[in-house]
Amino acid sequence: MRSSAILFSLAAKSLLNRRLTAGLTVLSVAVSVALLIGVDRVRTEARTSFTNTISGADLIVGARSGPINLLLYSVFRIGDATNNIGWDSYQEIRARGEVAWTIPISLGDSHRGFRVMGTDDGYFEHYRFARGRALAFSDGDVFVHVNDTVLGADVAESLGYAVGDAIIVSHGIGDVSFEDHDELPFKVTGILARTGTPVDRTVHVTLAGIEAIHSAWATTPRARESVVAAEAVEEELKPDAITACIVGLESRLMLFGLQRFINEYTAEPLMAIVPGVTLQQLWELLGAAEAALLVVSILVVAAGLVGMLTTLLTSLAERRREMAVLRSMGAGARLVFGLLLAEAVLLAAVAALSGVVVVHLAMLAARPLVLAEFGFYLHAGLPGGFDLIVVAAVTGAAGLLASVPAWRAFRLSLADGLTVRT
Amino acid sequence: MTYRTAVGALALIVGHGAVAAETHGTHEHGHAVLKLVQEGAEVVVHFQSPLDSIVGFEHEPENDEQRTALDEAMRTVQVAENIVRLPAVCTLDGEPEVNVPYLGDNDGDDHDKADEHSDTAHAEHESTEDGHDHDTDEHADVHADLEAAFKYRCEDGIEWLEATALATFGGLEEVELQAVGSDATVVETLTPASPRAALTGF
Repeated sequence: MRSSAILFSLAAKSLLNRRLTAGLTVLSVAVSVALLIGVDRVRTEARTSFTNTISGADLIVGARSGPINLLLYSVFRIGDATNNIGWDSYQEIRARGEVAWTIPISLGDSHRGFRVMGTDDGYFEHYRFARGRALAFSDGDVFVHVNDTVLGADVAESLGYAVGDAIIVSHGIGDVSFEDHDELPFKVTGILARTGTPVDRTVHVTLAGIEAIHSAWATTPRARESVVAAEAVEEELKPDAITACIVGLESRLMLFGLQRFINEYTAEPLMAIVPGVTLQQLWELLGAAEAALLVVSILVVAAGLVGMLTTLLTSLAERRREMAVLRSMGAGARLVFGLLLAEAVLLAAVAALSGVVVVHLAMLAARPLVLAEFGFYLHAGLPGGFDLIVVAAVTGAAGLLASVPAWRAFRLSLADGLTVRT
Repeated sequence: MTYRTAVGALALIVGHGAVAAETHGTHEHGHAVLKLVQEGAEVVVHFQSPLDSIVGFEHEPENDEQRTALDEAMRTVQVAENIVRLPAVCTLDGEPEVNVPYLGDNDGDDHDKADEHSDTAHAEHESTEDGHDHDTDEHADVHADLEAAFKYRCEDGIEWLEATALATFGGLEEVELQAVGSDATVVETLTPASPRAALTGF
């Protein structure tokens, strides 16, 4: 016990003496470990986050295209719809006996880079995320009027909006809008509590509100009154179509029956997907790419470790004197062997641990960007089992690799370091 | 006419037309879909396969041999164990609902409709991809699916599912399982070599 403590303190001191090379070695291994852990974390976080975004919804209905495409644009606001659902078809689905509730979704507009979504009260009542959590208001309440709007937490925070503010909703989804529908200002009536899902980055308006943006209605004196209840103008501002809808069933046993009815719907080409099934299909699709990334990052770690081995071997030549002095002072060949092993293990452990720290800090820093660009939330959780396995594996592998230079040092004779070579 | 027995919730699941795949998107020979949905103790399993993978053809029977094959298929899919196996804690609840296209002689509307349905893209796809001589076949423009639905009661959850259809029907190369429970979803491709899926969370 005592001897190993001496061994590690000797190794640490020796490393400190060569802090530049040691530091660079640590850096290269740390970067490779950070990459490996980062790839794994992003993979698992993306899965958890996507799974947590929608919960309790039985079916998502949209125009017939690809299931994954429908899931991405309706729930994660990634990409665009290829087509819409006719209002009449939506009403027919909604009226069916097996349907308990529906949430209409109408997309296509934006407000300063944030997506605008037209929907109705059903959204606030039935939308669930993170295994059954309901949406909550941090301030204000549900929209009532045509030009009322409810903001996601991020929208309110990054644009500095509060309940009562007036905002202009525009057409298109770019940051810069060339065609502002500035005839009709919307009033913020509510701000949602943070969910960690794309809901946070959405501007919610009524379906009538979406229609109002695109019709001449906005210029009528009535719109100026800004107290027109959405229901009062329901007929006047009835949408022709919506982008998609989320359906909840009376009983899950009716799931595949209704899915079939919608997929075979003849009035227009519709498609119904089961969110969980489509998400699994998405993972299957991404599985090969994920595996490739993981293999690449494992190889990068291996390259980092080989780099460390190279450094240790080269340093041996310079340290012949150091070894000889140790031996002349009574250190056995075994101690020299152990010293080199201890050095490698120390280097690798420090590198792997810094890699873990770096990756977690980086994820914390990248969180807003990832949420904005890819629609998922990176939880910077505490290091988990995988991190421990990586640290242990890297340290172990370093010890194994270091036995090569350690063996060489072991074989060097006492005289080797003391004799002056000519 | 099509043979159908309807029990409660099952009535909705199995198609009504003789040619069930008319408006369906995908139809890949050798590839069947097995759907399972769980609500409390109630479990419904729905099996859908291209008819070709079960009986070796996908048109009106033209001789006694083909008629016998359809009758045989009908008898086989009525027995749940031939399609799917669940743990012993699950018990069958009610009669199965089965749809085998082109079964019987006194047929009328359904088949006429099917024959009128002309989808040349599908016909081309078939003749080039699966090697069958469909393009000389007068029925080459239709796909037909066989379907079966079973209802179970599983009081203690479902630990696993085995797609016995892979062993029953040599024409099946894979079965895509889509299982939806209250807290879990399992999507897995089952093959004759590994016909069993663990249903974690069901």
